[in-house]
Amino acid sequence: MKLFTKPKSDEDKLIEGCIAGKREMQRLLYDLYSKKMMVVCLRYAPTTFEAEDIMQEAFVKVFSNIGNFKRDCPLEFWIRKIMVNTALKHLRGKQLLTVSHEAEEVSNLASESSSLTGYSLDELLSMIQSLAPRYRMVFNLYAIEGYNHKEIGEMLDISEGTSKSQYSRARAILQGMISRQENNYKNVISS
Amino acid sequence: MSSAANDKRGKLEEEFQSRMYDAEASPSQHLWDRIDHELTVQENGAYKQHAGFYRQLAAACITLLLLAGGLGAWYFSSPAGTEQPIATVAPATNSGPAATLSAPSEEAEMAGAVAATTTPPKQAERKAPAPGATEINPAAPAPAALGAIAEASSTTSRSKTGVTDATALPQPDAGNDPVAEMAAVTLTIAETKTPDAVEEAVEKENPLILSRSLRQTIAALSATEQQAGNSPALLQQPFAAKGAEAKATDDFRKLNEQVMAHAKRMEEEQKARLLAYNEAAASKKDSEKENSKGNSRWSLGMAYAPGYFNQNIGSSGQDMSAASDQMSLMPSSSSSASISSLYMDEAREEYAENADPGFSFGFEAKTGFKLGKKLKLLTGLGFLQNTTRSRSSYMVQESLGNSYARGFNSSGPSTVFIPSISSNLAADSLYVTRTPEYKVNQRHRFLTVPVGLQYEGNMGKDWFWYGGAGVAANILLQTTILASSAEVEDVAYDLQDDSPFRKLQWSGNVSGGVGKRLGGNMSVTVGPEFRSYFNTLLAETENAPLPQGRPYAVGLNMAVNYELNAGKKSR
Repeated sequence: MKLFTKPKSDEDKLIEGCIAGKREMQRLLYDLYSKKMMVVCLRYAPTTFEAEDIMQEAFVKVFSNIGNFKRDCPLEFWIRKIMVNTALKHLRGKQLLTVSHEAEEVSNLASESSSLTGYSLDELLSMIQSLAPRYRMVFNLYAIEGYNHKEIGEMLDISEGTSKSQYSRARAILQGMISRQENNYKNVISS
Repeated sequence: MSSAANDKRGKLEEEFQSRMYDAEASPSQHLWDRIDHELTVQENGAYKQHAGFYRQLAAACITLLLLAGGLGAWYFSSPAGTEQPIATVAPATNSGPAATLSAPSEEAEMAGAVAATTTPPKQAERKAPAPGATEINPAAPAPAALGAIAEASSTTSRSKTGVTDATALPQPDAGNDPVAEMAAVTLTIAETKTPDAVEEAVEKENPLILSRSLRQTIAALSATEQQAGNSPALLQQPFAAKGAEAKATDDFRKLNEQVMAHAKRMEEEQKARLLAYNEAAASKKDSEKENSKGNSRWSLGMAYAPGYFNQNIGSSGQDMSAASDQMSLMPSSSSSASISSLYMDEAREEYAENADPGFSFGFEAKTGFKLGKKLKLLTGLGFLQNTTRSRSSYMVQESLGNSYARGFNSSGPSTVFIPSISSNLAADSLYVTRTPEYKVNQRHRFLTVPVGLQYEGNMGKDWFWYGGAGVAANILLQTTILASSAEVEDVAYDLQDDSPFRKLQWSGNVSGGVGKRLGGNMSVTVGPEFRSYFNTLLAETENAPLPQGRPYAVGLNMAVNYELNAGKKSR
C-alpha cells in the first residue's frame, strides 16, 4: 500500500511525534534547535534571563502549533521565525521599543574598514545587547535575519523611513564601539 | 523572509550575519524542565476544558449501565417464583395429568396481594398475634420476624400441594377455599414482615434516643475541637441551651470567621501541595520515559459488551413433523397419552414461535500486543451471558426416560423445552397439560477466551477509528432454564453435569468504532459488535424436536485501554 509514497525523513518522524504530543520527540526537537535559537533570543533580549524567558515561551508555541507547520520551508526557519516574533512581542509588551537617543553622539565614529574577526561571540552579543531596544530590533532584523526595511516597518509598526534611520544609527553605534575597541587595543599594544 | 536591500549591505552586515546567524549557545540546563512543566500545565488545562464532556460521557455510561443492570435484574426477577428452588415444587402424586398439575390460583395471589397492600403497618403491629405466630419483641425483632416468615412460607408451600393445613393461621371461614387461604397466608406474611415496622416503632416509642445520641455526637465533636485549640464557644454549649439565641449572632460571626480562615488556610496548603507535586512530576518524567521505551508494545484493556442474543430457535427450517412422529409412538391405548401427544406438538410450536432474542452481556479483560504501528493482537479472558426468552402455555412431566434431566429431579413438571432437547422420549413418560401462559428464560453462561486482531487509524490528534475481528473459545459454565410459573421446575446444568448443550462453543466476531485518546496512556473505544457462533447451542440437533439454528449476538462494545509505559499520548 505504501509503494508509491515517499519514505518519511527523520524530520517528518520528529514532526509527527511532536504533533502526537510525545514528550521524548519534543525533547529531541528541543535538543536539535535549542542552541541556535538561544543565540537568536540572546540577540533580541537585553539579558540571558530574559532570553531564556523568550525561548521558553517560543518553544511552547512551537510545540502547540507544530500541527500548523505546512512544511513549505525548513523546520529551522519556521522555529526561528517563531522565536523572533516572540521576542518582538515580548519586548513590545514591556514597552522597550521606545527610541533612545543616548547613543547618537557616537554616530559618526564609524569606520567601514573595521573587521569582526578578532571578536568572540560573547563580545559581539554584548555589543548588540548594549544597543537600545529599538535599534537592536532593527539591526537584528535587517543585518542578521535579512528582512528589508519595508518588512521591518510592518513588523514593528513603524514606517520604512524610520526603520532605515534607526538602522543607520544602530550601525553607527556599533561601528563606534568597534572603533573604540580597536583604538583601545592599539593603545595597549603600543604601550 | 525576503532578502534585505543588499545594495546597502556592507562589510559590517555581512560579517555580523556570518558570525551570528548559525552561532550556537547552550541554554540553561533547567530550561527544558520549565518548558516541560509549561507543556504539562497546558495539557492539564486542555484536559480540564474537556473534563465537562468526559464527566457527562461517564455519567451517561453509568446511567446506561445502571439502566441495563436494572432492566436485567427486573427482567430476571420480576416473575414470582422464577428463582424458586426445585425443592419448593411438590412432586406430583396424582395419576391424571390435569389433576397432577393444579393450575396456580391467580385469584388467591391477587387476594393476597390486596390483603398485603391494604393492611397498614400500624394495624399489623397492634393486632394481637395469631396463634402459632411469633409475638413481636422489640428487644429482638429480627429472629422473631424471620421465624414467622419462615413459618408462613412453609405454610405457603404446603398450601400449594393442595393439603389444607393452616394450624398456624387464623381461619375464621377459610375452610378449603384456596382464595381465602392464600389471603390468610399473605396476611400472615404481612404481619410477620415487620422488622422495619419494629424499628419504626422503636423510634417512635423512644424519640429521645436519636436526639440524645445526636447531642452526644456534637458534644464529642466539640470536645475534639477544644483539644485541637480551635473550638468555638458556641459548639461547647448544648443545642437546647437557653440564652443561646442572644449570643447567636456574635458567636455565629466568630464561627464564620474561623471557618473562613480555616478554609483559606486549606486552600493555600492545597495550592502549595499542587505546586510541589507538579515540580516533582516534571523532574521524574525524564527518567520514567527512559525506562519506558522498551515496553511500549503492550497494553491492557477491559471491555463491556451489552447486546441482543438470538438463539435462532425455529429458524433452521427443520421439519417439526419428525417430532410428531416420535410422539406418535406413545401408546395409542391411553387417551391421556393421545391428548399429551396433541398438546406436545402445540407446545413445541408455541415455544418456537414465541422464542425472542434476549439480553446478552460480556466482560472481557484483554492484553494487547502491537504487531505493527497500527495493528494490535488482542487476547484475554472474559465472561459472557446469553439469554433467550420464550413463552409457553404448557407443562410437561416425565416419569421415566430423559437421561439429561434424570439427575435434576425432572419428575416434576417442566417446560416443553426440557423434553424437547432430550433424544430419548419414552412413549409412556410424558404428560402434557395446559396452564396459564408463563415466561421461560434460557440463560447460558460462558467463560470466553478471545483472540483477535485490531487495526487502528488516526482521525485527528486524539481521535481514532478501529476495526477488529477475532475468534473466541466459549466454555459453557452453566445453563439455566427458568420458568416464571411456580408450578414449573427450573433446570440448571453446571459445568460438570451431563448437559445437552455444547461444552465448547466457538464464535467469531467483528467490530468497529471510534476511540478517543485520553491523558495518561488511557483511551476509550466504542462501537458496534457482531458475534456469530459456529454451531448450534445444542450438541445433538438431529433428535431435537425444536429446530435449532446458529446463534448470533448484536451489541455495543465499550472498552477502556491502557498502554503500558508508552509515553504520554503515544499511539
